[in-house]
Order: sequence, then C-alpha cells, then structure tokens
Amino acid sequence: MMRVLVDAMQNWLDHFEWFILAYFIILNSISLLLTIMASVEFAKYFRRVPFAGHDDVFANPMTPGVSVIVPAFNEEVGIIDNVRAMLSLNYPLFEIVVVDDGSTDQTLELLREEFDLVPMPSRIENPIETVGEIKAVYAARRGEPLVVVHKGNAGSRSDAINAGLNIASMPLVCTVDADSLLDPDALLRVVKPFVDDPEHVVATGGVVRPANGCVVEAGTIVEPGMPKNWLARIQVVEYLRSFLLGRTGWSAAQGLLVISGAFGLFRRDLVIALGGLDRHTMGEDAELVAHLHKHLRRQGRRDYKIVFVSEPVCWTEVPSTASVLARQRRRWSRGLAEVLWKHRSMMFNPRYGRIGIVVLPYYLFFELLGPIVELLGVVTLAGVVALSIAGQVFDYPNWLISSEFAILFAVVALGYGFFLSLAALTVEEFSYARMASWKGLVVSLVASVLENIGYRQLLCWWRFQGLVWWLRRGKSTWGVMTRQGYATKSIVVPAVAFEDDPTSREERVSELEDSVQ
Amino acid sequence: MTIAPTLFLQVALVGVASLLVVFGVAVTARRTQRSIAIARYEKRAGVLRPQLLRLLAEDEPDLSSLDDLARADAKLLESLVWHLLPKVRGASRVALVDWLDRRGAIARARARTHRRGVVGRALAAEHLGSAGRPEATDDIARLLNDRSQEVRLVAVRALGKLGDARSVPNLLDSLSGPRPVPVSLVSMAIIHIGPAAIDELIEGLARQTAGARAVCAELLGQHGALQAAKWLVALLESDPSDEVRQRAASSLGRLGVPQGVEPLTRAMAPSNPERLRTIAATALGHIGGSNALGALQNGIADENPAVASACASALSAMGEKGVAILELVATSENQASELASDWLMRARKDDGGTHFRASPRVVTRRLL
Repeated sequence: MMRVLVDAMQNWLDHFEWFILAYFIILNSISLLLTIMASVEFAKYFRRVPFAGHDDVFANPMTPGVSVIVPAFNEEVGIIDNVRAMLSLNYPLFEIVVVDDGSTDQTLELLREEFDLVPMPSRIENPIETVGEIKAVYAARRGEPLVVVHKGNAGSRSDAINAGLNIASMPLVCTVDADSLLDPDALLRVVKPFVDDPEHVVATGGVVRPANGCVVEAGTIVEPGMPKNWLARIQVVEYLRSFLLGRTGWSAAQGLLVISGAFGLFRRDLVIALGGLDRHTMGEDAELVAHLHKHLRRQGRRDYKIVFVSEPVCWTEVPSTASVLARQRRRWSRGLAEVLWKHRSMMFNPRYGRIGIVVLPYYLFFELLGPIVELLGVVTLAGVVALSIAGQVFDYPNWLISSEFAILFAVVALGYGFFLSLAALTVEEFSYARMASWKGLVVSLVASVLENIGYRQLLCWWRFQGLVWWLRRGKSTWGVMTRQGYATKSIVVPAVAFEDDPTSREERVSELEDSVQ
Repeated sequence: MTIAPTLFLQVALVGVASLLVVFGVAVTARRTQRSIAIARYEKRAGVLRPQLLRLLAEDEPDLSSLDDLARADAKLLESLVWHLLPKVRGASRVALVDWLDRRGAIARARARTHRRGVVGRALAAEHLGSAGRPEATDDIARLLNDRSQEVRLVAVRALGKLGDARSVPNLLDSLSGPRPVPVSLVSMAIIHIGPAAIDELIEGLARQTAGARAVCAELLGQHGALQAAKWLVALLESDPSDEVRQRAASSLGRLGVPQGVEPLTRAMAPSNPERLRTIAATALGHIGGSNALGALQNGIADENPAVASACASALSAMGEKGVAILELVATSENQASELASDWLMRARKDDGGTHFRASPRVVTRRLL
C-alpha cells in the first residue's frame, strides 16, 4: 500500500516538477524584469530632480484643479485631523469633497461643528447614478474649499465615490481613503504627469506606504519609522517589493492595471464617461483602471498614459492583526477575480495591446491563480518530506528519489523570494532611503526573510480563500475596521491600529466563514 | 526524477545565494557611503554656505572673496550658487550671476545645451533660465525643438524665468508642430515674462493656429492689457474657433472694460455654443454695470440650465445690485424663480459678518 502511494507520488512529481519549474521561471523572470525596470525609472527620476519644476506646477495658474474625494464611513477618530491636513496641501486650486457614507458615529457632526458647515442647495447634476440617497450637501461657511456630502449607506465604497464624483467641480479627481495621510506636496507630485503631458495622461497613481510606526504630526508624516508589530513590518517590505517596484515597473512598461484606491488621480470627464466606479466589484480601483484601458482602446486611442508616481506621497495604516489582514487579502483576491471576470473579453485580445496580451494574463495566472500553484507546491513538499522520513524509517531508498528535487526547489524558491525582497530594499536604499536608522534597515532585512517563510504561505491561503469566496459567489462585504486614528501632536502610530470592532466582530467572522467555506 | 531540473536548481541556488550576498553587501555599503557623503557634504557646505549668505546680506554684495574659497572647493561652491540663484532677488542675484559669469560657468552652461545627454541639456537650460542672461535666450529657444520632451519642457520654463520678451514668438511656435509642448506650460512662461510680452501677444492674435490665438487672448486678459480690448472684441465676434472666442470672452471679463458688454451680450445668444454663452455670462458679471445686469437678468430665464445658472451665479457675485435682481426674479412666478432663490440663499449666507463664499463649483467656474 505504502509503495503504491510512493509510486503515485513519484509519478505526480515527474510531471509536476516541469510545470512548477516553468511557472517558477516565468513568474520570477517577470518579477526580476519589473524590478530592473523600476530601478531604471528611479535612476532616471533622481537625475531629473534638479529640473523637475515642482515649484512651477504650484505657481502656474493653469495647473488643473483637483477635487479630492474622501469617502468616509465611521471615521470619527481621525476625520478632523485628516481633513485639516488635506486642506493644507500645497496645491494652487483644489477642493476636498468628503462623502459621509451614512456613518453611524459622530463623523458628520464633528465635521459640521469643526468647519461650521452650512447646507447648500443640492441642485447637483448627477451624471452618475448613485444608490445611497443624497440627504444633504454642506459647504464650509468660513470659505475653506470643503464640501461634505451626507448620503445614505449603500454598503459600497464605490457608491460614495460616485456621489463625490457627481459634486466634484474640478477637471481632475483624486480618490483618497479617509484614514490616509498625504504628504503636503502629494498633489503636486501626482499632478505633474498631467501638467507635463496633458494630452496623453489620463490617470496617475501615487505610491502608498505603511504609516504604522511613523511619527505623525497634525495629520502629516514627519518621520518615517518601522512598526513594532512584525506583521506590519513584513508589510513594509511587501509594499516596497510588490507595490513600489511592481507598479513602477508596470508603469514603465505602460501596463499599469492597479492604481490603489487609497490614492489615485483621474480625469473626471473620463470617469464620468465610464459611468463612475463599479458598485458591484470589491476591486473597484483595479476595475476602474481596466475599464479605462478598455474604453480608450475601443476608441482607438493607443497613445494614452496611465502613470505611477513612485515618490512617497501617501501613507496608510496596514493591518497589524492576522484576522484583519486575512480579510483584506481575501477581499483583494476576490476583487481581482471580479475584475478579470468582468473584463475577460480583453484577455488575450490583441485589440487591447499589451494589457490584453501580457498584463491581464499575468494577473490571471500569477496573481489570481498563483496561490493555487504555490499551495500545491507546499502540500507536495510536505508530502515528499513525510515520505522521505518514512523512507529512512522503512529503509526504502526509492522514497528519497524525488525529495532532492522538491527540497532543492523549495530552497531556491524561498531564496529567490528573499532575493526579490532584498532587491526591493536595495533599490529603496539607493533611491528614497526613507528608513533612516540602521536598526530599521536590520529589521527590514529580517522582515524580508520572514516575508518568504510563513507570511507568504499565509497570504497564499487567504488569497485562495478569496478566490473560493468569489467562485461561490459569496456575499460581498467590506467588514468594519475601527481605526485608532492620528493625534494632532506628535505620536507614534500604534501597532494596534486596525483592531476589529468588537461589537460586530462575531457577525462579520461568521459572515465571512459562511461565504468562504 | 530527471537530472536537468535538479541541475538547473543547483545552479540557481548558487546564483541566488550569490545575489543575496551581493545585494546584502550593496545595501550595507550604500548606507555607509551615504552616511559618509552626507557628513562630508555638511562639513564642507557648512563652511561655505554661511560665508556665501553673509556676503549676499550686504547692500552691495561683493563676491570677489568667493574666488579664494573656490580654489579649495570650486565644484561645491558653484553648485551652491546655482542652487541659491532661483531663491534670491535684486542685488544678490545680480552678484551671483556676475560671479558665475566671471568664472565662465554661464558660458559652460550655454555650451552644455549641445550635450548629447538629456540631463545635461535640461540642466543647462534650467541654469541659464535661473541666471536670466538675455544672451542665452537663443540657446534655450533652440531647445524648444529638442528631440527630448523633457528638455523641451525645461526650456519652456527656463524661457519664462529668463523673462526675455523676444522668446514669446518661439514659445507660441512651440505649441504646434511635430513636437508640441503643453499650453499650460507655455502660458505660465509668458505670464512669467510679464507685461513686456503684451506687444508680442497682441501680434500673436493674428497667428494662423487657433491654439496660439487662444493662448494670446487668454494671457492678454491675465496681464490686464487694456490696450488689447478692441482686438479681443474682434476675436469674440468673428474668430472661426470656438476656443478662441471663449478665451476672448473670458479675457474681456477679466479686463472689465465696458466696451465688452455689447459683444458679450451678443455672445450669450442661443445660437452660440453653451460654453461660450456661460463664459460670456460670467464675464458680464465681472464687468458689471446696468447693461450687464440687464443682460444677466434676461439670461437667468434662459432655457439652457447651464446658461441660466451662470447668469444667476454672476448676479450673486455682483453685490447689492445683483442680489436685488435675484430677489426680484425669486419673487416672480416664472421658471427662473427657484434658481434665483437658490443663488440668493448662497449670496446671503453671511452670518455675523463672516462672508460665505459661493460653493466650490461656482468658484471653479470663475477660475477656469
């Protein structure tokens, strides 16, 4: 019986090893290529800083105005500081549109009191249909460029942003999460591509970095730092490798598919033409970008640009507990599945250029289905190791035959993953070097090891759950994340931020479990 | 099991291990090197910068003593001076430029506009723009046709900083052709040049390309060029391009000249495009006067909601007389009364002397 099992395993490995080797080579070659392209972009960027002309963007009265849309749901802890910080952005012409998405806490009352809001006639053109009822629109009596929309909750972040899009009055719209912290020059940085090439640039995305452990003052990061929590520390490295380098690389290849919802800038007219953000997908940020690609390609435009701005401009709290992280990654995975399914007609379709031929297939095979292959590899490795141990016990040398490949492969795969993380750290060190202390650097190195041993496998599992969630058509739910927020005086953002809301935790967990399992 | 994959993996393992070592060393070396470089720079610049600033603080700065310092650290000192140049004005700026000129730095920058590398040419244009020497105008203007878009953009900004009105035709030329530059950057550059550009802009109103005419019309309004009013009226009435007519209308409003009221009122006619009509309404609001008030009062009942709203907005921003008309319309029993009530409400959001600014949507319409 045991020998039958061994022979079956042997047969499986003989076929699987070639597949997984090819998969491994293609995936990592793409990652390496993206890293190299990102490095080249950074090098180019830094050589051009002396004549970048950011000050001119500020001084130019022709710089396009920006409506910053901030969807807010139960953000009473930090909303005032964050809106104040946004009102202090260095930018010549902008407005902040806060969309209170039916908060059940004091979000709206705090805003009303702090900014002396007065209702204004809400005779708004509604080019985009929204589900949540618009209850009132407020303006700041003292003249701050602030509009607050009070709407009923529709259980969709997209619906809140669409309401903001309806009332936004500037040609560019910037979506920002209510808990995100922006650098004072954030808008200047992300608008720059629009100023330099207004004919072709249709959207830009800013890099988002973890704020945990950073020193915050009056809603602004004044000193980047490392979180105390290891889960958050690992995410610092992950954000560097995956988001900073990955997206910079895709942007350089004109293949950017994801602009983070936490900080993205779009031409309002185009988003309106698309009908706004899709309310039915959880990956509304990626969906919007995919939709933009589709829309523009169908119009015969091939010269448009979607640009990723690598300069650190936006900071956000990342989950510091496994349960919240798991929920976030399941949601991302499900969102990606929804986007790929919705735009499946673009897949392998030459009409959509490199997006259809390269980018979407990459996201399908390596991002969405990657966890399946990786989990299969982990299970196989575990089986091989178990059989190897059994082989030693039962003195059956054939049992050891495939273990050499499997173990060697695992070591190389982990080593390569570590190398990519280290490459990201190296690029960061040679470019922005935001991690000032040696201690931070050492912690980053350790975190990049941990990212590949344990963390990565956990992510695979959660992403796999997200995929199953989508396949079972489970109910879409964002869950509630109670944030600690930021104080107005200098504090270190605590690693305990993003704790679950105890009042609804059980309900949400059971809801998720129902839909995943 | 086959041998090939295992062999490949063994080689890969060695490769990955080597890369790990290389990158580990690179990170550490870079961190160390940067720390040392920053410390060295601070030490050297810490000596030079205060001396430089002290010299510049004099009423008539004499930078000849900088030459002694330059013997020890010429490159750093020149770099500090170039860096400081855009941040100072008046005699200090003149002194810095003269010092750079004496050292041949400006001549070197002009020569660098011919460099093969993009960064070299762009940096040269940036420096020459900061120095503001008219003899460099042609060098920078040549870069408006550079093969690199980055260089072209820097050249546009540099010409603005340099401030030589002779470059206005070149800037207007750069708007069209095979390597165009964005309108907003050219406009900004011409705004930087200031009133000296007005004559060139008036000449530019007769250009063939609509884009150039539109920029000229817009900028004449920005510059407050009252002498251009008659040309703007002519453009508003007869230019074949809607864009040019809109810019002319907007500028007439900005200039606030009474001679603009009649043509703007005609521009509000239903036969014209909606955008032109709304801009004309806003412009009439800026000009004011009884004729403008009458035109706007008629406009508030327009069938086109955008035009009606623009008229109401303009009235609400015209002070007491505009508000009085809004009150009149609000109490009437026609279709415009609701709109007038809304804008009346916005105009009256004064509480305890605090002025209520109109909604951002309204502000934007005025600014854009």
